Amino acid sequence: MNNKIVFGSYVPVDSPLHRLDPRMKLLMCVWYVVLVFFANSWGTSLWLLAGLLVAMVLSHVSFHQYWQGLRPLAWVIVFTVVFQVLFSSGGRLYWHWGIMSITHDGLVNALIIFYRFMVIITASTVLTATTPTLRIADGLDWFMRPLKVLRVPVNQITLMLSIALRFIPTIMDEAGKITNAQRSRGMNFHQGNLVQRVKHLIPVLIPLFVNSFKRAEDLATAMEARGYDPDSPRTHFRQLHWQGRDTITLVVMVLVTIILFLIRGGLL
Amino acid sequence: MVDAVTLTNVQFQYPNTDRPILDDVSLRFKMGEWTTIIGHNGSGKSTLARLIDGLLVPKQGQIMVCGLPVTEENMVQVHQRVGIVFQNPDNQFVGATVADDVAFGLENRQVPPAEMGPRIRQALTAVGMEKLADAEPAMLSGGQKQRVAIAGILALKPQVIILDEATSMLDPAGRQLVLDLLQRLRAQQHYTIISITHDPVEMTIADRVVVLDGGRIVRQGPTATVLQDVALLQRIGVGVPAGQALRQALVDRGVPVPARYFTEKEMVEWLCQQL
Repeated sequence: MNNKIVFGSYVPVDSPLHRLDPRMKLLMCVWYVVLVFFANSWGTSLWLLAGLLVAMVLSHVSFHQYWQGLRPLAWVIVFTVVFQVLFSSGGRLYWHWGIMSITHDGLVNALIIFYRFMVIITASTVLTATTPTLRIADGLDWFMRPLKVLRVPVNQITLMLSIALRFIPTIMDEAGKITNAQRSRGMNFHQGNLVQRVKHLIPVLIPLFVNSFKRAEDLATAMEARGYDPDSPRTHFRQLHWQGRDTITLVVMVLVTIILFLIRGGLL
Repeated sequence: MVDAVTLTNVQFQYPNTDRPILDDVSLRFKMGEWTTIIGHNGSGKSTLARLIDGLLVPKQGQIMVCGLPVTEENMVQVHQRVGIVFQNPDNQFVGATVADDVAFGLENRQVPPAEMGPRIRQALTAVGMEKLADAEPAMLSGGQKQRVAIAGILALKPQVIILDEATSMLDPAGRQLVLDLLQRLRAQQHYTIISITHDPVEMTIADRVVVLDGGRIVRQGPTATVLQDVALLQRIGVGVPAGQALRQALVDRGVPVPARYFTEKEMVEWLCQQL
């Protein structure tokens, strides 16, 4: 599990994309996803796909690793596409059986959905593969700052997020320990039907929850002892530095958008 | 000179309990002194640590830290002067990396970001963790995490460091590293150290030992005097230091051993003289 890239995990290599400001990458990812919904033809779709491929090459993360990250989601995509093919109607009818039918519009819809799924998931994988989660949280914090005017506790939300991320490995580790402890008492997790298997998880989940609450309490005490006060302003150790390359990326994104709309408008 | 910490007639009771966990406790901790607090589980040791840092409020009595009363208004200064290292290395690691964790306290204190880098580096160098500044907690051993916790406290330049069974979840090597580090810190004489422990080795390093039992102080004095009372140590269920244990074993077998405190080294020397 450690060497394989899981969906959403960071790949620590050095690349132009890794060096970008997390805010720019976050913006780029959201921007791109919005653009995907404006693609309405072969030309526009291929243009955006080309843009994504350039980003993937620039990220220095191999296509094989991206595929490893996508694979767990392949079933969801396949299921959705098949569903679209068989259950949407309109246009010329090619085949039908009961309520299922294959029509021209169904095929086109399926293709569009397949395309959107693939590029959106890949684009977000590019973001998470090139940016550590903590930096993404920093970027989010910056984008959420205007919400402070509306009294949204932005600092608390991002601290909560980063603590949650920091404790994922700790709690996974603990789940492993509890599972082993229950196994050593004779529990077999791979036996019985689905309902029984789900029931077998209860003796793992209850101690896990109890321990997590205890952890939370300890952590709260430790944080208070180190002077944390949710209502006081705090400074930030990790500063974000917007650099020339980030501005260049922004300009590139604007150009990509302009060209997209030129193709869409039939001007290119 | 002002005492580092003074407690005057402190009483504390947890809600939904029928007797106070600390009853009429008065204690003084001198500046630069290393005090060990020992006692049963539930004798109120950890409660005492939390009271000193203002994490709990006493029902009666007064607590002063470096001449400053521990009250709601002074909480910020109290937290700045007192640093606590807790028992579980994992449950006090806030940051996603070592440097971020040390930064946490500085961020709370609104230290300017430009000043943080050097202070974090200095604190990590003091605990010998400077090479692992970017490491994630999952990659660290318990002893390393506790050293990071100490660095997080040192970065805030406290006067009092409290160790609440901070070495009890570590392996012997990790424990030794933490204790060596604390002895180096004591040598600098900037810090008053209060350690709560069951570990015989950690006890013997202290200048002074306080024994808590049933919420009261049953004995306090120089380490050598208190640890001499093997019967007391056994009654409160803490480990007996090796030198003392050996002395007791010899006395039980009828060997005349002087009635004074022996460290492990002194015991070896005494035995050599007898041969």
